[in-house]
Amino acid sequence: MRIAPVNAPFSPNVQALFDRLPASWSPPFKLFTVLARDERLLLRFTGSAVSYLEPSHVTVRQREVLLLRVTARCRCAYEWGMRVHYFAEQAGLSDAEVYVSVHGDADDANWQPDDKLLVRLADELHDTVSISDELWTDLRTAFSEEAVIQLLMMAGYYRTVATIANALRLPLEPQVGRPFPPKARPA
Amino acid sequence: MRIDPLTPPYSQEVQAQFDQLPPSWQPPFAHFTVLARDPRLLRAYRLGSVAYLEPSHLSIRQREVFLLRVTGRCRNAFEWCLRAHYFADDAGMTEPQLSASVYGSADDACWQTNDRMLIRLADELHDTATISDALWAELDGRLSDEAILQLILLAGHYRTNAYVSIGLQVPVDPRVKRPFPAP
Repeated sequence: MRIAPVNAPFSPNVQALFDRLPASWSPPFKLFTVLARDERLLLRFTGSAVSYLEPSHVTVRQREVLLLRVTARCRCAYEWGMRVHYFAEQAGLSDAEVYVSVHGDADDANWQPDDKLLVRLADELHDTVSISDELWTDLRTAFSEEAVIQLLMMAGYYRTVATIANALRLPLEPQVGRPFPPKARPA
Repeated sequence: MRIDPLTPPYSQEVQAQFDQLPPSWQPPFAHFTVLARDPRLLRAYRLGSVAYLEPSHLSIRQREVFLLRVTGRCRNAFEWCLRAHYFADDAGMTEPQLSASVYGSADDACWQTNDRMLIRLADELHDTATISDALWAELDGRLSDEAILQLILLAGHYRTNAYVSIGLQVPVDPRVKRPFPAP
């Protein structure tokens, strides 16, 4: 790692945050413990996630298709692998879908119709920082206005996650991290 | 705009959030009033900014050179114009620097030595979502670890701003005194 994370014992505010995280996220990820060098950075960062709103404007599947694609396009195995570990099963994502989130595109036959829209959104934002008129029309047919805003904020937030992990060279988390699948040879 | 913002009178919850904005930002900018359609989204978005920490790990000059470049590279006219309006003078930005923040490069003669590293950082994060060994060697030692973390979070937050502002086609605020530079 390029910057050393903070080790326990943590400050009271940081410990209180870690106590609120799901038990399965313990011990706290290095993504969090490195930001804890200034607890204001950590608390603002974690407080600005809109991925786990209850109720949410998007389903777990919609969220995870978008976020696997966002993190894969950023070449961030650190966050991509943890999303697969924690959420792929709940999101109903097959091994083939997980694979094409990294190595496929929106037209891949493995995606369901709604998935394609989310992959296109992640790709357009990654490549152009905008949304074409054609994609906008399709998005508004499938999603509420609030859902679109939530998707945009999540795409931005997980690019931030990916940038932290990439730029600081965070190693995969033990047990719950996994690398990208190798690219298969064409049949 | 592709999605209608809220208009006053606002709910108590939304008004309470707007009341926390600086007086010079009133009435609230359109990216805030559109995010306010779900106050949880507005709250999360506002929390995500580490631009105005007191004390900060960055000078105003460092922050603004960096954010003009981040927003400039995104072609985020909405936010670039707000930054130029509110902060360019305090940050000592010249007209050539404002223009170069959008269309120039880190090597342009107009930049001060210390600006160049920030332009390169914004560019690498925009183009690659990571930091090369060469640039890291330069950052490490000239900026504190915490300053680097703050810069990475700033780049991310203002990319999110671009997704909202450009994605929803939020128009440039009519109050700003400088237009987005022409190519």
